[in-house]
Amino acid sequence: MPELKINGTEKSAEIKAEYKKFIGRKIMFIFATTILVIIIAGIAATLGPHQISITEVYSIVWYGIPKILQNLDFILTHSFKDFSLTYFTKEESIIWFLRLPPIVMAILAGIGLGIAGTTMQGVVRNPLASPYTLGISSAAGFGAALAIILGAGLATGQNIIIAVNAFFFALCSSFIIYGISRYKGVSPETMILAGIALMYLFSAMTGVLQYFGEEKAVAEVVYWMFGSLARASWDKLFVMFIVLIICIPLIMLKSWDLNALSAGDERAKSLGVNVDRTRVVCFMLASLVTAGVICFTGTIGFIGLVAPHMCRMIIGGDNRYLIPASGLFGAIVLLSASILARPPIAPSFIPVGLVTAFLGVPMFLYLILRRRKEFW
Amino acid sequence: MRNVLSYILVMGLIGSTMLLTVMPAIAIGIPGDDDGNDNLTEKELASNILNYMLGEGDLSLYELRDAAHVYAHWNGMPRTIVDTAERTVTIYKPVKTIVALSSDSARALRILGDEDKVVGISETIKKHPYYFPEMSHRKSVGTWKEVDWEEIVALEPDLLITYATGSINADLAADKLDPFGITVVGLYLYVTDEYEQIFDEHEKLAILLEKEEAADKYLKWHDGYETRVHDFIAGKEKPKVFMTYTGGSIGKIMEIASYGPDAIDYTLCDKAGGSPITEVFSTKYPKVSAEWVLRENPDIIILKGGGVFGGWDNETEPANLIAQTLVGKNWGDINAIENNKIYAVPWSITNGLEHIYGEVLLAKICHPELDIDPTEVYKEFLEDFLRVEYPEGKVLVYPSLAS
Amino acid sequence: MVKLEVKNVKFRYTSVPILRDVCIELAESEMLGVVGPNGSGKSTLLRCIDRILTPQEGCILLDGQDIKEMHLMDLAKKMAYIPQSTTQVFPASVFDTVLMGRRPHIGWRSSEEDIEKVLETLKLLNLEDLAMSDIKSLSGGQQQKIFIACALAQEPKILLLDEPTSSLDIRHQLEVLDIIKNSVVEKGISAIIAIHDLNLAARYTDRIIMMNGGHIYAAGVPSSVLTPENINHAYGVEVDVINHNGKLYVLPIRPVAKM
Repeated sequence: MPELKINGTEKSAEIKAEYKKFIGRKIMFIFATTILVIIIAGIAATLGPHQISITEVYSIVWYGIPKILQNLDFILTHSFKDFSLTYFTKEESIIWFLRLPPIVMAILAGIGLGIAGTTMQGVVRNPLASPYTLGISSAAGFGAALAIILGAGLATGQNIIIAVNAFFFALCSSFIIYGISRYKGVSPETMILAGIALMYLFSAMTGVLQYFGEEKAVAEVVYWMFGSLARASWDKLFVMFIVLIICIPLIMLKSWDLNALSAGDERAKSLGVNVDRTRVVCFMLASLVTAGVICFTGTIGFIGLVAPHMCRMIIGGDNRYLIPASGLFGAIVLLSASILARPPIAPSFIPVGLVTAFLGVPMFLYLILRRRKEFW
Repeated sequence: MRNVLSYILVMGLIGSTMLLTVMPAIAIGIPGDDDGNDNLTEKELASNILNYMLGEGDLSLYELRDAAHVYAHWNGMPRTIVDTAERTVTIYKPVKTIVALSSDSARALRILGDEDKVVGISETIKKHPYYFPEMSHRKSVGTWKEVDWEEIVALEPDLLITYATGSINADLAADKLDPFGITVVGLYLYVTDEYEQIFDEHEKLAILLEKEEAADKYLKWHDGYETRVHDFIAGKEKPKVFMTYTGGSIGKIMEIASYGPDAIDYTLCDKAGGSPITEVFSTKYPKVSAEWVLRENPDIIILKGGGVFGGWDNETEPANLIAQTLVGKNWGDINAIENNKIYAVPWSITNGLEHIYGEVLLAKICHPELDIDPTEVYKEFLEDFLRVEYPEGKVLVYPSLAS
Repeated sequence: MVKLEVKNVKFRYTSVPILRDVCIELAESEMLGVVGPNGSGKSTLLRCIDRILTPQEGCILLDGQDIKEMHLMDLAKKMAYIPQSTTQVFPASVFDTVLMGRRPHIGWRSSEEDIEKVLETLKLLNLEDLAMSDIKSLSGGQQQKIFIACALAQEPKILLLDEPTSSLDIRHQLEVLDIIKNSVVEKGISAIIAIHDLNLAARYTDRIIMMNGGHIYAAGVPSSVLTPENINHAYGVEVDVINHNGKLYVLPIRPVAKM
């Protein structure tokens, strides 16, 4: 019998080593995607009518940061733009004011939508869920349409009003779903059905607005809904960043509980997880992230659905690693899409929201076709 | 509920950060205004000239020229207007280069005679080389929904003219271009629902470009016709008019859209001595049923066709447009149909700076005895103001009016 | 060692009562079987005991403390419930699934100790070869074993199992119940098993509760509960109960009107 025991211990050690390797691979994946984000961002920053090489880009960003920090009091007393006129060369201004904002927005929006997607899928235990499943995108679209069509001719602060309206209505839909599920029980079915109902309601209301709207404004709404990074600016990015930096760590803290939900509500409850609260809190956090992103970008589809799946195929379903991984993966997809959205025959752009679909669907189908096992 | 409270907190935080985003406007001074008080004095100019001659000055010869111009023609003061986006726009030196992002502003620039200053355009302008022979060959920087800001920066314009609202609105453009010292002005320069706005905008642009005389000439011409129409229709009975429009191609006629009292086309029709039957509506762009039109029994039907710039090339298209509009409507008994008073007019010519043509045309349709030939008005606009030849064979109204 | 008392528990979803006044006491290191026809309230009882459902009346005491007042995590350290069917929606390795059982004991990071516990459990259940496979690629029997492993990794004092063998082949049925029995014996924990198969119940449990219409109809050692009269009354089935090699077997004959 002693021999058998040794065998047993060896086996355990083997499994442990393999498990550690498994974890190591997940961490490596996250690390690699981070590097890739930085590289693609660098490439994206070299594209444009002015020839600026990739090393110049990195050095402008690298030396720009201390330059900004040293002159912080000038920026606060004057403005960021005065600062640029006074201290920046034209190349520096181009990088900092024209090229970086859309790139940073692509990164933040990709992270936000990827993470919100993973969270939503976990919350409703449904792999077909996305940040938009529960009516958030159509609610945000309605908010934007309201501002664009009814506010036509209202010039002062129009950009902020559109964003605030989209944000507000996106959260509105979430609060309605929250209210319904508190009344009727926080089950995935209730949430999904309420979400679908709201989606149709808000789409219909947007339709009414478009029907009676002026043609120019209607075209504007359609364009808004395609999703675009062109509206990026540092103040918007700051707001987006604040939303993400508050919500994402809170979602990550819930990753164990989301894992537990995956085994079913009863099992999760038995593991000591407060299922209803986890579901509501994660759902609200994911909604907030989504709203914080799409109020500035418009509805950029697909990333929230696809990034979690792709990462799940690569590193498995453990939310502790899946959440950051799908965020970074989302950033990669959106960044690449923003590069492809800029065809050689400028100045004709394809809305980045559409490119994500063209880019994402083939990747997604490829992974589905070559996978060897069931993933959900 | 703790969650709810924390959410309110987060939302409050976001709200407060949004307030921080309002940043002060940028200040670039008049060249040579050494004390920075936005007033170039004789002394300042003289010392700068002297310094330049001694080879010690900070100003280049170009800047010195601008300074002299500002001193001589602007009393040493910058030129300031408030644009339609309610932004204060200040010019510190003569505008030499312009990027124009709409065909509406391109028309205004031709009326003002500043087309040579244009260095960058949008795709719309590019599409109409006949009307914008020089401008259409300049660098195109984008469309109404997306432009390449870097291309604009590369062109180094002094001024960018864009719409006050929309995808490329003035606020957004200023956000992008302020760091490069490019002045942005937000003007529609087409007829908006506020009728007087276009004239106001035209004058403001003239102030920025020092072309007040050209603007005045245009306004006088416009007002002349307006007064004649106004005087002519005074006291005359107004025929009932129904105005409808299509979204573009013929295939898009799905519903019957019209103009309510707040819409500009309603105002124009009223000015032209017609009485729009859509008086009862509160929405700007009401949708009506064929039966309602039948009951209201208009004397005249005007059909505006979209997507046409400067008239149709042939009569088939507007004829088809009318035929398509009448399909299945059962409007046979309407006065307008019985008397053959249904007209198709291209959309664009009633919406831009040439809209007085539209007004005269409507007046002529409503009151055929009016002694102005609308075609002459349009011809004058093209030849005297846009300075292009009147294109023969263009259909500007169908069926053509007996003069 | 913990002591579980279920006192006068009444539960209803709508107006129809599911449990009407149920009292149970669970002894230490006991394997308690709960039998009864469909809809008799077996699963509801287990869910009430693990606070997944809250009874309208009565209380459940764990070492004299009402579970309603306990923190969820503390409860999870003492009791583990395995539902009848667990559907894993997303892919997860066997190791991670079992590690999930450590949830009540850990924060965000799993410690070395937790990993050791998982390895120990895997070894105990002889699941080591499957450790890195995806749970969704396994058979129903293997999956059930892994969920039991997960529950054992939770280190509960009481295991609550709802029909652990219902969808398994005969070999897996025996294996799974052997695992549970061994755990009860080796770790000194108790288990409550809701089970349909009366023969398995007779073979593995120390004591049986027979439920009918939300009541406890009979309770006691298997031989005293699984009588033809009781079964006829509760299930409306005529049976023979025979003793073979010291083990009780229930042979169904035909359905009859309930006595």
